Amino acid sequence: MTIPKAPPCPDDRLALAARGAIDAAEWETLRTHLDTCTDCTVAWIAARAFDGSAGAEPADERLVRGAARAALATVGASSRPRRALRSAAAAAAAVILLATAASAGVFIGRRSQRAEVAVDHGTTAARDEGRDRRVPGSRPAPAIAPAPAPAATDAPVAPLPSAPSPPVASLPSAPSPRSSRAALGVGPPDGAVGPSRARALFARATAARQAGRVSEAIALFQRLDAEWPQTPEAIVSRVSLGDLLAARGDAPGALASFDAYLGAAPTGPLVPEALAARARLLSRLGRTEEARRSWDELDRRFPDSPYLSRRHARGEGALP
Amino acid sequence: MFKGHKLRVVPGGGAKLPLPPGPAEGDDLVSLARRCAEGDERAATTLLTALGPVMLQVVRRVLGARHPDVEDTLQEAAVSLMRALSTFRGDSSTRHFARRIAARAAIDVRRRQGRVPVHVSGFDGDDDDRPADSADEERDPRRADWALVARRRELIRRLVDELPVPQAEALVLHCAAGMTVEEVARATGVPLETARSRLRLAKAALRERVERDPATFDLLEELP
Repeated sequence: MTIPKAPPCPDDRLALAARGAIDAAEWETLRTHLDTCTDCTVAWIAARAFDGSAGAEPADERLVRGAARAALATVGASSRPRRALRSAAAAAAAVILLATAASAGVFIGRRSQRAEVAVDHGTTAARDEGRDRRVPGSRPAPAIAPAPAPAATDAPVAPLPSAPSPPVASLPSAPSPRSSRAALGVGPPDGAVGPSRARALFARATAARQAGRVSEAIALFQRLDAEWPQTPEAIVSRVSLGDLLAARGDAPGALASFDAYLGAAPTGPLVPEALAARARLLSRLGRTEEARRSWDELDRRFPDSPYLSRRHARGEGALP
Repeated sequence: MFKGHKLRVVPGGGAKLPLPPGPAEGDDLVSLARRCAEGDERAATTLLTALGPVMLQVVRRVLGARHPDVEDTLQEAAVSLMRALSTFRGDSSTRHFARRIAARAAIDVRRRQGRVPVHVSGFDGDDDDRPADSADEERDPRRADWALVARRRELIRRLVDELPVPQAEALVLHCAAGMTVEEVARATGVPLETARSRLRLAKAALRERVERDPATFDLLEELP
């Protein structure tokens, strides 16, 4: 007896569907496969389950900033050579200062204080700051790879690559919430999150979306945008709203929602998603030239975006 | 959904093809990663700021949006990323490299918290993705739908907890991060067929666990 061979599982199509990068025809092909393959059906259920927990939230900027600060303060390995050089230079300067001052016979106590401060500068403070950022009860990080001390380098720093990396001026250690907020492109409001009413609307809309209550989710997202348009919640939710409108067939409405997000958060964390979704919608509406421009912008700003692989695979937007 | 499905023979992989050249040329973050590995603190800060949202998304998907250790795990992943950059050769994109590290950190967190045997009967779910202010929904009849979705999420996570780590990692990168098989292979540093095999085994193991427990089977089947 021969066991008939089932068609191979379209692994990549499942993954691309999980990140929303397939069109209706590909989805139909995947659905046909899911009807016959239990393994992939379970994997698809898993993908959907994971996806329900993935939405961006207004407080993300704070989490990212804290993680970056903690990593820099905790590891420090990458900057060890430079710190060592600085410390050595400071120590040498302190010794010279001490010797000079001792020969003059003045203020020994003050000299040693200065030397201590100079040697310690830039290390203890940064480590303490990072330690404070860690959540109580946090565990030491698992070592995925050893961290040998890198070689010291005084080579000139190459210019920063193009977007999406935010500008150095908005480093996580920057004191102003406004500046780091701008770095992540989450718009102008002050404070980590918007007013409680906006937060409540966002939470209700997200819950409705995750539970599959599309109409209710759309209504709540639209209400949030109408009542609190400048809040991080409203800005972030425009991408979710666009997805929901697109899934319901309202391409113009979805397009407007993605454009509104891109306008309010030009360097935001969801820009790749918004650009790719925008390009697909424009193609659907027959506005091929605009679609190609949107793909090109995604290509230029996010060259390793997962959305681009589908575009290239289909030959979309290939320049003449 | 599952009824009528039986064990079936899944065809094996094809020839062991080497991976094509890596994507470093098109990776806008790779130069930042190299400068970071060379000790450039400014580059490290910029890199972490750029990769943070990517890693946070993976952590949330594995742990759950409301898991109390999301922030802690993100910090661990960021620390691990800094440590691992010295070994990053550009075989995968920098973002996929970061996704892999975040996935591994989140998987480790779940395993450190202890495995809970998966048996759905009496399992009420942690409801950990429930929005913080949804207490009002206690009186909402639709809360039942939400609870069902939350139970499914936690059930899937517990099933994944039972997989061997390499399989769990491949499944998370594939299903949760949406990475293709080739991208999974690059990010985990294994041959393409190894990544494909891990995924196949992971999917089969999940299916076997679902079919083994009627309550699990019913829970997944009745969901919207």
